[in-house]
Amino acid sequence: MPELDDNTLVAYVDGELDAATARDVEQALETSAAARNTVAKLRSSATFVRAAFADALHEAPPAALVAMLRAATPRGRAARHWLAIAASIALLVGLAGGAVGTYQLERTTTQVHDSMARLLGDVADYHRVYAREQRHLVEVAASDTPHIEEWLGRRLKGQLQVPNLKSQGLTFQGGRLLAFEGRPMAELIYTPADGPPVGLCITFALPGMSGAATEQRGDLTISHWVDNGYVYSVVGWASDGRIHAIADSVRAQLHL
Amino acid sequence: MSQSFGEQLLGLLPRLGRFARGLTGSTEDANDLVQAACQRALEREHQWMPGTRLDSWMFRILRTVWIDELRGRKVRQGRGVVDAEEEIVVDGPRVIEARLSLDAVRRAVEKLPETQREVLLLVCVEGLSYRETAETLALPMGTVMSRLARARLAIARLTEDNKTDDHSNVVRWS
Repeated sequence: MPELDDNTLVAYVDGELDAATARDVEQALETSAAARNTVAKLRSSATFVRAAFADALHEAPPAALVAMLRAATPRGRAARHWLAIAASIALLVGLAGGAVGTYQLERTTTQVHDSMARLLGDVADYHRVYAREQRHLVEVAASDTPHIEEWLGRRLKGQLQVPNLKSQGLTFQGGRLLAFEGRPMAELIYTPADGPPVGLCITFALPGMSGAATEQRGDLTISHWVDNGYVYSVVGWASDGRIHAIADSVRAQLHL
Repeated sequence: MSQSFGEQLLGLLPRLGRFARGLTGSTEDANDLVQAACQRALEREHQWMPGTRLDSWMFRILRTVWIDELRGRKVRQGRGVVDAEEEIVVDGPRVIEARLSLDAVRRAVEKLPETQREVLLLVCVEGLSYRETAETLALPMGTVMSRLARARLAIARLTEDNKTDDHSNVVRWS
């Protein structure tokens, strides 16, 4: 039984515990109202703080600073490019190792809720890693959308049509293939005119996965729903309302 | 395909500005801080290891510049660090009236001890993992966790008295 001190609980809320410890904490929480109360506080405070600083992202930087950075001379491009590729390969190897590790976890039929929690944890982790990439944001760029639809649709065994989210102010940038517990997961990535990317992840729903919700994973908001054997998640650094609206737009267009 | 160092910094400006806004508590100070941090980064471009995260590196520089150069100016202007709860007492009626306005949350963050505030901003606002935060601030992981928990509970105390409904993060769809 893990100790339910504040440090453990904050790590639990932020998805920073390993899967086994997180499950132990979840169990221990069932018998401690005080700890559940603390968890609720740790969650809501993160939401408030993130929301409080969301607008700061849209403040225009000083023009003089922008000019100074534009004038900064490029250098060392080739070396940096190859190092970036090497880093990406190292990262992919690491991710693949992680996926295998997760797959080997024991699972029981009563762990449907856990599998959804793990999926959302993976979606958040992937998004945190890839959404920050500038040169390798996507694996296949939006200019090759027919290929993305054919390729990822085939991996998902369905007809994939990339949703048009212009009405949400989002431009499609491209897609990449990820994995969840040994199964393919597609991520389509969109960017707003100004701000961090938003992802749409699609993978096969596990038996018993159902329902729809919008929830937090650390600093990320995820809207997810299950439809026709697939689980869809819209993930991004934006308010619940914003992510929910994007998810609504996707739901109206996309049915594999 | 590849961007110059300056272009990459340009792309980070919104987030640098936000982190600076959280650290300094004012847009004006934040602009000064980002400017100074970018200048220092351009001077030290050779110290950045390509393939590693530029955002973490920049957050580290920004925070160092804040501690070394700019914070002293602000403290000299008479704005010390006040405990978050003291702020609640002072502004209690207004906070209740505003029903947890985000402005109140920002002010509470501003009044946190700086060591807690920087951890809170990096994890909750900038989305760094605990490990990345620990590396950025050169702190042990345990310290990151304890500062983060203390900061979050202090912010929650602000919201607690004003809470009439459930602030669960799960919003059920109809």
